[in-house]
Amino acid sequence: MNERVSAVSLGLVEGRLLLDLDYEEDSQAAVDANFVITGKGDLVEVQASAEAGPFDPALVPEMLSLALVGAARVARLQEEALAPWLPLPW
Amino acid sequence: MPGGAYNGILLPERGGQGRRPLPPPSEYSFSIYQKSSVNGRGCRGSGSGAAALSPKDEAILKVAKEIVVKFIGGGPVVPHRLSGHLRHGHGYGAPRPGGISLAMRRRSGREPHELRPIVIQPNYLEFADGSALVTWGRTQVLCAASVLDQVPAFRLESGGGWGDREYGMLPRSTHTRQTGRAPAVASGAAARRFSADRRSLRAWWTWPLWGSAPSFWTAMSSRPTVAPAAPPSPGLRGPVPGPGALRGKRYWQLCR
Repeated sequence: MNERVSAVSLGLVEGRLLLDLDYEEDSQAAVDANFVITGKGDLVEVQASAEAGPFDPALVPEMLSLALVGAARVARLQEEALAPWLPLPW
Repeated sequence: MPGGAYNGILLPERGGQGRRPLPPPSEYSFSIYQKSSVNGRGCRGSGSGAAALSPKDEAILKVAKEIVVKFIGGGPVVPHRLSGHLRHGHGYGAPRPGGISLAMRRRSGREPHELRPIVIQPNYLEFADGSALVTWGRTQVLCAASVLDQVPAFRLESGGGWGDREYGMLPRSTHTRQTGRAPAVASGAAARRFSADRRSLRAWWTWPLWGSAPSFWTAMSSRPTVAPAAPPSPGLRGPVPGPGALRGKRYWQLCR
C-alpha cells in the first residue's frame, strides 16, 4: 500500500464555501468540487464544476485549503479504524 | 508542492520516513473558530493582537452589534471590508451593504468546515478479501475488495497487476428510483465519483509483481433505516480550525 487516500466534496452555497455538502446543499450549490487527497497531503484528483455560471478563480486556493482540512480528518479516522491491523505487512 | 507551504499550510517533505507519529492531542487542539477579520489582515480574533479598528469600523461594528442584539438575539457580527469568503473564513462572509456580514449556520447545524459524522466498520462482510461499511451522515457505502489471480489481457506482458472498481447505487437510495445495479456508463455525479475512484485506487495501491488483480465493488445507499452499530467518532463536533489557525500548521497536525 502506497498511501491512504481520502476524498471530500465541497461547494459554494449561497456565497459560502461549505465542506461535505449534504443533499439539500448539493442541489443548490453554485460550485461543486471534489478533491481526492493522499494521507501526505498530495493531490490525486481535483474536480470542480460550475453549476450556475462560471466562478471566480480566487475561490480555488480557498477550496483547496478547505479540502485539506476535510481530507486530513478522514485520513485520521481511517487510521483509527485500521489501527488493529497496523502496521500493514507490506 | 514539495515540502513547501500552500496557502499558509505547510506541506510535508516528499519521500517521507514512513508512517508519521501521531501527534499528542495537545498539539492539535485548535483555538475556537474566530470569524473576526479586519482590513484583510487575516483571522486573528478580536482580542489582543488583532489589528486596531479604525473609527469607522468601530462605529459600524457598534451599530451592527446593536442591530443583532435587538432584532436577531445575539451572535457574531464581523466587519468585512474585502470580499468575504475569498479572503477569510471559509463559508463566512457573503458581503453585505455596509460591510457587515452575519455568520450563518448550515441547515444541518454543522460549521462550514465540519464533516458529517463518520463511522468506519472494517471487515463488515464475511467473504470479501477486504471490506468496510462506511457511514457518512445518512449515506452508507459498502466497500468490498476481491483479489483475483488474473489480469486483463493488456497487462499480461507487463508482469504487474491491475486494479479496477465497480460502483453502483441501490435502487431506492435517492429521491427517485435508481435503475440498474452497476450502470456501464454512470451519469452525472456517479460518473464523477467513478473516475475519481479509479485514480484513487492507483494512488493507493502498489501493484504486486505476481500479477494479482484486486477488484472493488462499492454499493451506496442513502438514508440508512438501520442505525449504525458503532457510535460516531468523537472529535468531529469539536472546535473547528479557522483559516488563521491553519497557518503554520503541518498537514498532519490537521489530522484529528
